[in-house]
Amino acid sequence: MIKLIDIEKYYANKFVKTFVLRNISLDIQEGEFLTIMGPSGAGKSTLLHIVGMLDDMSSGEYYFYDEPVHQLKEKDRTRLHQQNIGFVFQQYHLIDDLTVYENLETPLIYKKVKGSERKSMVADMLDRFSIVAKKDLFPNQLSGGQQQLVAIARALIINPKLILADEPTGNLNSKQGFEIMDMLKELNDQGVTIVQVTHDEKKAEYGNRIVNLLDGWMEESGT
Amino acid sequence: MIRNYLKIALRNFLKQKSYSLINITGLTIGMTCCFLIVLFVIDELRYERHHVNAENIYRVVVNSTIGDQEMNEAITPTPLAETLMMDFPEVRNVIRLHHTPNMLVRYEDKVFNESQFMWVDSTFFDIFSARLLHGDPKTALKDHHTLVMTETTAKKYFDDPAQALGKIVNFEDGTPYRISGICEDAPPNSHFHYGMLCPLSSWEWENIRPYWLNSYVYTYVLLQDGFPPEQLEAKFPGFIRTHVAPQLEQSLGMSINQFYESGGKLDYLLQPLKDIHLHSNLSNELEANSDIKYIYIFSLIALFILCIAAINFMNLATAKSTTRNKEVGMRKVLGSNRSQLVKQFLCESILISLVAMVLSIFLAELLLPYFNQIAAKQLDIRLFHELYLLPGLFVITLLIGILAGSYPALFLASFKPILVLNRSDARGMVSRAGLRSLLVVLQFSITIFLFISTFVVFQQMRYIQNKRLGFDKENIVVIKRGWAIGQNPDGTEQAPSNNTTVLDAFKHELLQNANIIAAAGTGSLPGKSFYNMVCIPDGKDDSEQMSLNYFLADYDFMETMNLELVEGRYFSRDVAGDTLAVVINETAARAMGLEAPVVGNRIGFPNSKFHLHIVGVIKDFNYESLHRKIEPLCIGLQTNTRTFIAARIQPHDVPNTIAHIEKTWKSFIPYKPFEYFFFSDDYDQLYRSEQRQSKLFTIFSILAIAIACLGLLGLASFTTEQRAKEIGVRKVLGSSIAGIILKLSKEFIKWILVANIFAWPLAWLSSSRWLQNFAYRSELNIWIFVLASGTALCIALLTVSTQVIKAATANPVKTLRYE
Repeated sequence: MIKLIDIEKYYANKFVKTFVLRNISLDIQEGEFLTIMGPSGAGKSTLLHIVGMLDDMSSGEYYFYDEPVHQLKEKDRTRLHQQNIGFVFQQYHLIDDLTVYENLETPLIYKKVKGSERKSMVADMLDRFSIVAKKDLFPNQLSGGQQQLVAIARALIINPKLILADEPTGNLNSKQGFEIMDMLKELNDQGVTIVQVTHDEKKAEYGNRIVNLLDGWMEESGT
Repeated sequence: MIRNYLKIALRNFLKQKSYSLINITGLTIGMTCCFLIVLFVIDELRYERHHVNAENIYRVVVNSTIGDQEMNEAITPTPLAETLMMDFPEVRNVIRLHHTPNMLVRYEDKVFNESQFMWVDSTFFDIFSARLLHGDPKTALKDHHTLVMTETTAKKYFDDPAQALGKIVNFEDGTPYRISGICEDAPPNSHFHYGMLCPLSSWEWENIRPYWLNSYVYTYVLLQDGFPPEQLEAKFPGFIRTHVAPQLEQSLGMSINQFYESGGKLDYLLQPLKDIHLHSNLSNELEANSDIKYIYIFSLIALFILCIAAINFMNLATAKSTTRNKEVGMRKVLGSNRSQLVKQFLCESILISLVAMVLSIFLAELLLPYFNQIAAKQLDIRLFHELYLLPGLFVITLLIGILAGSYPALFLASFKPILVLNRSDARGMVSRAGLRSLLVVLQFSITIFLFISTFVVFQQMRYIQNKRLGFDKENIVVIKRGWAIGQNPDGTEQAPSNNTTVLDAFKHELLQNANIIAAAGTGSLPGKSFYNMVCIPDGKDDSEQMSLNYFLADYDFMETMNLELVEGRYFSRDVAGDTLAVVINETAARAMGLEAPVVGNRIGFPNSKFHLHIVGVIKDFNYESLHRKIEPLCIGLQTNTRTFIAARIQPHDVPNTIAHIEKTWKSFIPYKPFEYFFFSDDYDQLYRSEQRQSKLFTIFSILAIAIACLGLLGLASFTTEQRAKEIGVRKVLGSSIAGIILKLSKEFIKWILVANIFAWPLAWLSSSRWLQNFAYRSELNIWIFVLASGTALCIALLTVSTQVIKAATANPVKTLRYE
């Protein structure tokens, strides 16, 4: 599904190149639950962002279902990511000015889904996550776990093939954290490919493959 | 999608109340100004559009040079119209018009002085589109001694204008005139207005002055549809040779060829009717016209103010955008592309500009009466009557919204989502401060430019007020229609008794009151019109003609006006035979090439043995407006001249003095109304358009700086908020409050100082060009510039200081705690 070949990412100023990622080659199969681990500053999030097409790589090749992402224009890249990828962040990143309902609706609007269809999809999702009662609340009226739930629901609403989760439980207490992880596992069982970044060993074990990053270098350790 | 955008826009709008308020207030004020100015400009551009034939009507004007004086006159010789009609088939119709500023009209016990009285040809209604409400336009002005009045005028005499038809009114001399029609009032945007129209054929002078060299009437021609006026103008030189030359030769004593060779010029020109209001500034205009220059100036001001308001909007939006970059980043992660984001932000700015537009329509409606008063207009806002107005407003709103919103939209939409999402401090992202400073500099350049212009206009107005004019314009009361003194009720002259005229008796009676210092009868006054004659200085031959302004006054004129004598004497009752004596001004003496002693020289006339004797020279005084250089002038003596009777009075107890004058008037002529004015008021009318301009200028420049400061306030509150942490750290490190205030203000001061670099040269150029309109003008002084800039700077600093001081005195512990 995803093929990365010799990805490098660096920030160059006049005299030095600061490397964030070096020679990353990685294949991700459909249906996988991949965990990226490593200490702070290892480049985990950067790698995730590159996979999610939110960030550019400095060199290397990236194929998404055989489409050469590194050669695509921004517009096509947006389309690809709009259709296929859902994001979950540590800080949830819900839009503060929108209600739960509207937050769920937004990706559909960008995907140009029709109004009536949108309504039923949002209703489904609210149902599925048992947050119907909260649909008119604003993010700051929810607990962290609930916000992350909404964020996952929002990521899922476009029926993505791939979910990218950046420390999804980092801001939650352990009970809430495991609930969210169970949720991700369940999604994975339903066939959604998941890539998560974490430095929590226990959460890492939810995946079926672990990739370790250290100072931008990758080493793979199977499960 | 649009609903989602609107929802967000509305929520943001409410969430950031102070920003929204600043934006909307600024934009509303800007749009209101613009709206009012646009109404004004449209009105100015729409003069004479109500005439069906407007495209084909032209006014004939005369351009002549005799001696070294060039004259551009709106009035023409009386026989011109008829002759044009006979000679040129392309002239379909002609109309002549003569304006009489004072005409006493009586109906039963009602007597009014009609100031808008016109003698016109019977073709009036054929050429001009004025609807006759009662009566027949074909015949209304055909008969002798008939009269058409406007509805408004009719209401003064009759309760019901419809009843007026056929009624008889009497003029001052008792002549009866039958009302043959009631017409609509002339629309405000006409270059002349009338209250009464009478057939020119009834005008007593009509047939006794078939002269081509004297101008008495306005002549308008109706050309065949689409006939190019230049083609007719090209035929005028031949026309002049045929019709005017004989009289010219007789009067100047030289052939027309000699006349041309000696530098003389005589041309007839055609002025399109629609151009008169904005492009004509000749002698003897029917009413003071406007100038296309003002249209440009005010359009520019409107644009400036709108620009300042839009910049505010733009700056605040970009500045505050940094608080929204998290939202933008997230939207991108959720799959929004750039254009969708751009649309969203444009939607917000258009919403704001729409709100501002609606508010400004109300505000404009509210302010319109005041604006009308200052601009001397009768504008009204008829949103639904004008086809273009609503769509026009909508387009403007859209444009402003897009213009003001485009930069922030593009700027925000270009954020790299990851960069913004990863910042723990979403506000840390510094938007392009460079462009923002540039825009503020632009705003203040405009503001300072307007300020300097206002100051210059003000200084010139003060200069005019205070300039030594050579006479004393204060404390003079002028009685209008002074010729009534000494007239019998039937208009005939009373014979002088005991060698004194009735005027002298009247003046004598006036002076019985101790508050009346002097009184004089005169044919003209400074600022009023003068006669002009061609003369030949003593000892020169006929080829050295020059033109000389003159008017007639009595013995007491010099004393009443406080004129200063430099040589010889003024007219005196003690010297017999002063009837051929004249007093000239210094300029005239110079123009004639006379050296002291000037007294004793004579003034001759072409083709004539007649001479006038110079008995005195008076110091130059500005008998015309300060727009013009002082021209040669000569005053002749006439003991019973009394177009005006001027009285110099004591400044105190004025009402009683006036009451005394009125009582005296009534005792002489109980049957004529007493009318007067204060000379200084009347004289100031010469600068009415400048005064109006200076008022509008002041108002608009104050508004401009208000809007600019509003923007500055927003920016200041934003930057101080953004730099709260820095300020906190600095304070912890031991910076004093004063030091921080200075540090924060420095940037704003810098902007304004830089703005001067752009504003000064432009203001210098435009101000000196404006001052060129005055022959007598104040000097452009560097201090005006310093003062204007200083004022702008102070106002701006005061504005930001509230925010800066608040930030500088904040407790650093609080600002640092959240890190």
